[in-house]
Amino acid sequence: MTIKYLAQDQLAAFLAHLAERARVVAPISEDGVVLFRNWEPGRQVDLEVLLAKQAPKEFMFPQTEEYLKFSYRMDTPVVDESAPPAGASDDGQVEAALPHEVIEVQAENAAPAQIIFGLRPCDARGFVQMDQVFGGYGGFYFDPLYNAKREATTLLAVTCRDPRSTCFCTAIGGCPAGHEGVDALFTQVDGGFTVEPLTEKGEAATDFAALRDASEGEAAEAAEVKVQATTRVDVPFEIDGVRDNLKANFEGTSWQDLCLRCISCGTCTYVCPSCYCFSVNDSLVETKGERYRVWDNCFNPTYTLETSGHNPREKKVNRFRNRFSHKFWYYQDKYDSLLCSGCGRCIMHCPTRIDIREVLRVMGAPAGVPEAAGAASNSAELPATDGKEA
Amino acid sequence: MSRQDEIRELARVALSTGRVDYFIGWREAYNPSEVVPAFVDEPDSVDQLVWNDLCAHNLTTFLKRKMNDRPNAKVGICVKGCDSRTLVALMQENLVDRERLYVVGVPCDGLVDRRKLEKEFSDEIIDITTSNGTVSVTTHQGLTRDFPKADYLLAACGWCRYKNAVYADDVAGPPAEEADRHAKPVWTDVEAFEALSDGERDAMLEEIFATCIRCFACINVCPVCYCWDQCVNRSRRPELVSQKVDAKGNLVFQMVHMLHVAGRCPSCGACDRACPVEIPLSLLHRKMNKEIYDMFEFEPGAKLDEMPVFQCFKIEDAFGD
Repeated sequence: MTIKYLAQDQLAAFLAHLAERARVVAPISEDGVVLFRNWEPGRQVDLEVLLAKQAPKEFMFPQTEEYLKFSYRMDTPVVDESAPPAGASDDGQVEAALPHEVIEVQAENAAPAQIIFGLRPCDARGFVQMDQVFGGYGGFYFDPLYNAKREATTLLAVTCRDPRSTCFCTAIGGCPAGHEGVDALFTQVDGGFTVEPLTEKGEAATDFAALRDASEGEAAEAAEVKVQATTRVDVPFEIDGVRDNLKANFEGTSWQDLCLRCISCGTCTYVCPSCYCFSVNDSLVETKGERYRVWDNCFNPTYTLETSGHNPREKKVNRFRNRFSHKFWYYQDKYDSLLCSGCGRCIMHCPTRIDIREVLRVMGAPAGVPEAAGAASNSAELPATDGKEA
Repeated sequence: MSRQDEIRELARVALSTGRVDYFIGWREAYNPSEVVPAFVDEPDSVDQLVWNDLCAHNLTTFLKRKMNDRPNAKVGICVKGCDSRTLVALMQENLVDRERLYVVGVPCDGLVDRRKLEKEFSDEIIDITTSNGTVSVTTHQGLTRDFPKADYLLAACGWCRYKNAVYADDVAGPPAEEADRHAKPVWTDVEAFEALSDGERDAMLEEIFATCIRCFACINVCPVCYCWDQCVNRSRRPELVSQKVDAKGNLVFQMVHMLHVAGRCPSCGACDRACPVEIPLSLLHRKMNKEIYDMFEFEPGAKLDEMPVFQCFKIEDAFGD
């Protein structure tokens, strides 16, 4: 497909054009905090900050999502005293019609057209990884809510010009200019963007008068930006063998060292582009209620709490081990995909900076090695600290 | 000897003499601009410990029940003045075993707010160093800029009156110069909040809590909040606190936390720093502290021999003096 070009000063017009037919979502800075928000004309898209605090997962898989509304009604048959009792038997006995409860249920599933602009290729890849679990892969459950939104959403990703030190997409098969899940890829070049439509949805979204064909120079610049960005992404661990090694190290003592500073909150999972766990709740006020799902996470101590009172992952270390094993071992076994796209948000936003790269370096290494590496989890790779005295 | 060396030396002695099984301090994370809690269990490993303007983590969090699953271990721990007050609050409630603790007080002259610095750059910060009141920040792309430290202090440091630990077994270096710690606390931020009309306050709370994602970082990181799986905020059946993540529900969720730590929270600011979406949570806690101070002249965690305000009853509380 031909590469197009959009001038920077035409971006607002382009988004306004998109907003005429769909909800447009983009990274927007509010008091210095960049989050994906509804874009409206006049709002500034922030592409300077590489990663919005949260991945745009919320727009495909809302944190709180209603399944259905329900209400209870008590049906009490009206008895007409004057009329001869219907259904009276010969001996005059009346079979009483019992009041009974009626439950009315109304399913909810709204999926208006939406376009997410300014997400990064790792964010888009997160959706592709999540598609497996919600899309019925391997004969498992097909989730109509997620898939309706997925169907109605167009992903316009922007190449990561300046990857962060915490990025590691290339280590696990991704790329700062990756195409996986992306409908059209925008790359920032001098004065604007090159635009590569990659799917029909992407073609449709970028069919706009202000987009012209890119010149050879612009296309070459974009290609160079991509190469440069890709070479600058760190490869902090070797992915080959991680799955098998996690399995072999399941009982490894280094898990305990690695999780010491973890506070067992859910930040890593809620900023993650591919963590998808949720719980289902009923909320009932008098006779009306709703059933909804809400994000949950494997660090929540009640996440695996069973009705009996038994909790198979009662200890922090068990919950900690689960997150990494799930992403790189269990999920792969069940859905033939990793569950991590290497965005590094979990590292950046963890209150104690638990480092998934370090965890995989230690626990994803061949068994036997972790003993030595485990001690390193506390002490190795510490840069010199001279001159930092307070 | 620098304070950092003092900490290392105290830790080395405590570990090698068997006074503690492990020692909790601070160390650098994946780059020198990030400092994280460090758990040292060998005397040979104490050189990873650091003391600098980024050592904001209140380590007493790791003394909480169920946090580290080693209930009988002897623990060494570094506390700044603010951290020592949460430790004292825990001691007042008999929630930590003093016999198992070795406390190193670290005098502190105020720490740098990394998030304030982050706002100055779109690029990632990879190094922060301080000398003579100037903070030098280097980004991933190699840009270095200097900032006056005084303008980039953590909010909690601005009104700090406890630069030295209120409880410690040993102190790392000479004490910090401290103004009168018994002076009336400064509540400028709370007073600004109180000056708002009801409508303005509602609007403000609704706005700041709209972004809450209920990750429980504020609750789990809070040293005096320890219900874990029994937290009322997690109760789904019955749904005691709405599990729906929306502005009103999130406010209720935070109110629960606020009320449960009232009279116990010394406003160390750990919740503010842990919040991934940067909600100024300690405003609520400081509001409660102001109420409690005005009513009882009580400051949480200030004196070891004091009864926590909500665990004692004085007849004059009911009838006045």
